[in-house]
Amino acid sequence: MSNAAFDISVTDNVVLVCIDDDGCRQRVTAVLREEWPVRTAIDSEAALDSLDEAVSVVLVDARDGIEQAIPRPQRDERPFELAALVDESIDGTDRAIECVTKPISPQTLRATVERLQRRVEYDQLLGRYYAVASEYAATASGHKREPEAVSELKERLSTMRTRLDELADGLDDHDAFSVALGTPDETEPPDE
Amino acid sequence: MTENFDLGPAVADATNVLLVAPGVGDTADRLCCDVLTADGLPEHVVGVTISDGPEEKATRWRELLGPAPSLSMLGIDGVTRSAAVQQAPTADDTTVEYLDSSEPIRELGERIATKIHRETDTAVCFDSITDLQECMGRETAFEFLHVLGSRVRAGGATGYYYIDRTVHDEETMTLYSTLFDAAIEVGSDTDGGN
Repeated sequence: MSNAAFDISVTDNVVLVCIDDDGCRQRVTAVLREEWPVRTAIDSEAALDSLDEAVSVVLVDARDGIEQAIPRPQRDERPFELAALVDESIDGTDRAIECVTKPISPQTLRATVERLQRRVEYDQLLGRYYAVASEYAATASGHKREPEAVSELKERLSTMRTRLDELADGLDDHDAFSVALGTPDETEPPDE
Repeated sequence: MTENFDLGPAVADATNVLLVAPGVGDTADRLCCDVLTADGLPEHVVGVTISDGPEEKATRWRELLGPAPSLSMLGIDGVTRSAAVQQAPTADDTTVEYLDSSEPIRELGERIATKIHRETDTAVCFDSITDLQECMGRETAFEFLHVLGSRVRAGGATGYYYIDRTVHDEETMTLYSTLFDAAIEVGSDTDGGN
């Protein structure tokens, strides 16, 4: 894979579904598997065993407890986005964790995961763009002028920038700035 | 106006432009306003100040720009104000908004984005990248600027972002330049646009 292709291929887009209830887990999985690779887990231990760099979105049932499903240290690392299924009676707005209200609409579920996937991809590509831009800046400003290396880095930046701009355009203002600045540590939805 | 700019096609067609000069404060104000004037005044100017008082800055800009265009000045000045003073309309179609410094810079970015509309010819003038980096470090400042630039582009506006050349080394200047379509540098042997 060329450097340019590697630069913009930043996520495997795996969705990890951690729901205790068999029926709910199967319904959610069936919807999501139409679009993304999906892993399932019935409890926190299985979820943590399955959590790796390929996972970009984790979906849990808030009834089981967010903290129990994915403990704070793993969430604080946050290479993934977290979403919780919540009951209709719970206000799902104004939270750091995305909420999907039950009963689950397949359309809403897909739209939510798609938005979170875009956030993850933008986050990862933005970080990578900064790294390549830093390398370019160091090389272009260095005492040993290396025109070929500078030219190659410039080309990589151009390719990445095109994809980066596409991703940014697909995010709303709140999501885009939150990705760039990091999501603040706010309150969680109450355990059900 | 202190400088007459022949911006050239590269800058005239650019969406996000880096403004480079030595110093801050009045230098940034004059350069931003001179470039706006040279490029043809837009209908609306969104001024952003990280460290200066927005009301004072708005007053200076109004003196430099004249009675047109409409002006929104957003500032973070570290003073908690009453809700009544948070948004203070002034004369000459100028609005000054204070953002409480306890709010994250994210709020500033979102507020800027709300003031960009495709149906109105808008320029965003950001003062300054130097102050932004001071607040949040180089990497976060860099990423914030990419998002802001994307909002400017999506809204059909033009963005001008000031940086103090005396504070940053060449490597950092080159790093930031990767975010912009063109640069204007004054106060050196390379006066003018490129």
